[in-house]
Amino acid sequence: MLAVRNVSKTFGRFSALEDITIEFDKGVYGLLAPNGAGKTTLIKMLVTLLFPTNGDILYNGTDISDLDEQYRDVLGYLPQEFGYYKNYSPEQYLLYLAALKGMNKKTAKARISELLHLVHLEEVSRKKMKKFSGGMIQRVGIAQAMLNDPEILILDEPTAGLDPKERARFRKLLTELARDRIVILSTHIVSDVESIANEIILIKSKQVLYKDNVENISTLLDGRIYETDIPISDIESFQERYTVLAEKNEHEKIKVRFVADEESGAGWQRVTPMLEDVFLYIYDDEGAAV
Amino acid sequence: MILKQELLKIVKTPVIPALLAFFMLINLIIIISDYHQKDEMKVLTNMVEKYGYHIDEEMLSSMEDDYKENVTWMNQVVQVNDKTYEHPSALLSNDSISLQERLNDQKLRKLQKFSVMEQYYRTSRQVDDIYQNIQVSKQAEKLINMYNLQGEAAETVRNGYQKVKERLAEIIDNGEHRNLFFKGTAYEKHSFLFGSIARALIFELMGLVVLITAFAVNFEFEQKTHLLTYTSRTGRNLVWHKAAAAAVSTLAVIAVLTGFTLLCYFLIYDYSGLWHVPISSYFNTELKFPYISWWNVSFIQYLGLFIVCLTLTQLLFMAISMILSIFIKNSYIVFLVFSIIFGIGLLVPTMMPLNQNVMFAVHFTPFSLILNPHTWFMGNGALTFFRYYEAATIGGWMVLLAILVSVSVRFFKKQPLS
Repeated sequence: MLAVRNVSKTFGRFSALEDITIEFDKGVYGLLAPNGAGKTTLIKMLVTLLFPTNGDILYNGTDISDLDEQYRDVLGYLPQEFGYYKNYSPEQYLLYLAALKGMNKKTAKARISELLHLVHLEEVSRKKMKKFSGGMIQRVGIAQAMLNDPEILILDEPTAGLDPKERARFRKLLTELARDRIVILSTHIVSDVESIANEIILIKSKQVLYKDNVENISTLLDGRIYETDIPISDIESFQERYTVLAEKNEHEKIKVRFVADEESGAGWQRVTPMLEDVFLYIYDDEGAAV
Repeated sequence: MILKQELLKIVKTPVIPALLAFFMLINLIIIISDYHQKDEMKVLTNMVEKYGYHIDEEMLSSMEDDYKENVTWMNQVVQVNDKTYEHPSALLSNDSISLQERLNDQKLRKLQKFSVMEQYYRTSRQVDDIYQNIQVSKQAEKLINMYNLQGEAAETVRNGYQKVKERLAEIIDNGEHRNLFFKGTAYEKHSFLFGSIARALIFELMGLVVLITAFAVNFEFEQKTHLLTYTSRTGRNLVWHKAAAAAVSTLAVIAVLTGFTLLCYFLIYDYSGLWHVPISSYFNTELKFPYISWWNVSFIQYLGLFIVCLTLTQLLFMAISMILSIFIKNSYIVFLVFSIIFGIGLLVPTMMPLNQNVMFAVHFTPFSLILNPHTWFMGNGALTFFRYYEAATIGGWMVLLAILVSVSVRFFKKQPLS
């Protein structure tokens, strides 16, 4: 079990995270928050790039700093942005990273072949990466994160640069991987985690706001989400009265999805809340909602 | 595997092989700048082949026989009003005789070679007298005046030169000075090889070593791959692999550039028969005061000591660069900061009071050390002439830098990386 206990992180006078406590067991965890909310700071602490100002991060009861390479040995990490050696092929690059991960060459070669097949890069395994698209590089990144068959897989915005088909394939892959390991997936794209995460962690105001499964989080807005059609001319006054989550032009009217605390109005249709509704509502003040 | 990959990264950095090739060319140009001396220098190697290099009565007598024979030949081929010359220099300095008209090329060349031989022969006969008249205390006072040293600083030089005097007596006693070598006053080969060429070599290597180390240590940050590499199992211990790669590359560039430079030098200038001549030979003298090595070492041993000293000094520069690279994540800025530190290292001694011993202490740095490689291991000069100056400087800085590297790496292991 990976446990974050009362962790705070400050950079000089700026406080990035305050008193964060989370526990991760096997399964997929979606770390959901808008950009700049502190997701990457938390992740960098989980992968030992940053160190908590206060609090501890424990793996199976021992501080990850004390575990040192024992901890990193079970870790797989895909950063939000990462560099690569442009004149290396994916195979060469992964072989080097495998050596850093303590794998012997023979095992590494077999594993690399397997992973490059998994991320559909086997045909370009010996081509220089400088000619690769962003999506291809991201797939190399995914492969490197899984090289050492990690017990803890931490992915920061992993679907950036992937096309819809690759995203779907990636989600399927993660579901398979999560059976016997901890997968922490940081994203600001709700659809990336909605269907695969066992639990969602929402961070707001430098603290963990919710940590629960998608269904329970969605019930936070149970009975308060509606859809209705309104004339285009009324949209501004409507937006002033309600939190509008989505808008769609339909003929001469606008179909709006919104949050209302009052009883159903004329023409309103109550709908089942989705995770995205909660996300947009919670982060409304940070500009997440429409 | 990791070390091999780290080495490949350095080798594939285009600026390193490009600079290495450029420096090879520069050194070749410096070496051939004395090419005109090559033929004259050959006279000595031929003499040494015939008479040996150690000057004793047997050798002088053998040389004298040949010398007299040459004088007879000279007076035969250049007969002017029945006047005879005792030495070729007397003939050559007589401007009224046009030797080009009287002698064909072959004879003229023979006469010129004979004139070179004369210098060695006559000086060999005078060596003991010259050494009896060397005034070490006077040399000390001359240096004290030259650097305007006063008080305890001047006293340190006087006391130091007492030890030089003892060493000079030892040289005279064991006859180190009585050995033929390229005449320093004519060719200045010692300061050419261990001064001009060596200094160029040292500075070139220093530039390469600083760049190599900075590139090696900062490679992941410059390629933005640090987030992957430093979260791997190896983690921040990767910096030790990078240090090892930098050390191997440093040794490799030292071997290549020094090897190439010395190979070119000795292919052009023939030192055959002279490898075992003591470096304190009188003939090595370029100024009035001879080179006095603290130990009885031959030319080849001195060359070996020079290479060892050069290598260790470059490893010190490597360590300084490594420490800087841990705090500065840009190779070129590391190079710039190193240059500033180097400048400060040279500037500080100029700001010291001239009447205190701190003046000498501030010269115990690798920056001061590399300025005068031709006086390494020598009791020459006023500020760095101490017997163990090189060993103390290198040894002291090795300990200091080993501690600083260790502290820096410990800092790096706790440094936030983003």
